[in-house]
Amino acid sequence: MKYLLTLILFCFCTVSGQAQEAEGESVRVESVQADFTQEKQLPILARPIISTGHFVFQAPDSLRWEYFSPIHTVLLMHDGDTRKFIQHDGQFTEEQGMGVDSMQIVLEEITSWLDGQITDTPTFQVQSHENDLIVLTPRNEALAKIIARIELKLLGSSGLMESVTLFEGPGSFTRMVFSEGALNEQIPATVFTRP
Amino acid sequence: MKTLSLWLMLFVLSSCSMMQDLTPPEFSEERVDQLETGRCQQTFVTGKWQFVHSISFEMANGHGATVIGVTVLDGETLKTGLMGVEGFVLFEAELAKENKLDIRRALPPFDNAEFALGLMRDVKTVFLHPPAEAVVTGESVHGGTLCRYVDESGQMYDVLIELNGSRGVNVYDSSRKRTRSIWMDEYHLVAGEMIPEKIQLKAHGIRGYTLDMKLISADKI
Repeated sequence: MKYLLTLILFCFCTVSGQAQEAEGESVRVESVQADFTQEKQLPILARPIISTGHFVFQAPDSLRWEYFSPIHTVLLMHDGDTRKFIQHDGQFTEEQGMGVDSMQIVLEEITSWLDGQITDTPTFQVQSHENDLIVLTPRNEALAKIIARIELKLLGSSGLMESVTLFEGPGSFTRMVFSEGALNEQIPATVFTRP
Repeated sequence: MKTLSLWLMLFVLSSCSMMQDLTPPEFSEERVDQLETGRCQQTFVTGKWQFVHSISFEMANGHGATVIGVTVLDGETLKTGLMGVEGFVLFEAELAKENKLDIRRALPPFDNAEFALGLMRDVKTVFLHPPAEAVVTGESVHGGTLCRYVDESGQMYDVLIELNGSRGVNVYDSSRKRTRSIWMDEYHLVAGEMIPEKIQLKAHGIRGYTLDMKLISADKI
């Protein structure tokens, strides 16, 4: 959970930052949002699991990460508070326990990336390849055991991404294909406070 | 003082719930009706299947979460995976026919052997026919059909088909204390077999928990 969200945001910030640098702009990333379709493949799966969702990020530390299917869930981060909601029988209920606290730590890292540490990080080695492909490899052995590498496919010079593929191990990956991406739009605060 | 009273009340309530009659019903006549065992057998799928469920679990302390569970049956092995709603794999394991467990991935808090064994046992109980022949068939407490199986270790499985169409499995240990209650409901036809939309598993005892499973997809593979 925490790794996936961290990585996706990292990826968006990295790519956005690179696009801006290339164009000589000094504008910071204030917000990013996009729809996504996620394909999950595992060696044990005969057919992949497909999810759809939307995310919104607002600097410095507000996030709405929402899956519409197969399970409607909303993760909200705002003002240092992290909450996760899940829809049961048409009603959102807040989920207590597991994993939510760790998101607070992750947010601190995201903030530092937004402040300009966008290419070379202590966590990942970043390599640019042809065809708008960027490959991130974990520097840390512990992290490398659960994430082999991440491949980012850029969407031209827009500063947005076409897809992110997170390879967890042999035959196991999560691919997110993004659409309707938008940078630096005004986001109402309620987006980050209500499921 | 108010807090203490509340705790005492909770303790009494939980003690009462633990004192529920969780022993198997007794039968005066030990007969096995093949027609009924045939119906009980249909509680479990045959062939190769892939199931994906949302699984909401609740621990005795009220904490819980929702994950996505994958179960793949091929007649020889049982493969299972748990992942967060976001797709990150938390646990992946395979159980071969001779009960050989191969844990391929296990991240905290799912990284202990006791959890893995317990999970595979639950998955087996939900999806696979009890590993024994029926020793008795009869009427369930609620007027439905009951088929009883006892495996080599003395563990007892009561497979239930109730009059409203729901099905269940009650598992008792060798001292005849109920350890698991499973209910399956809202059946629909997939590839010629009846598949439940909802499954609830209750593990009894002090470290009890409840799993509520909702079908996302069922594919004959």
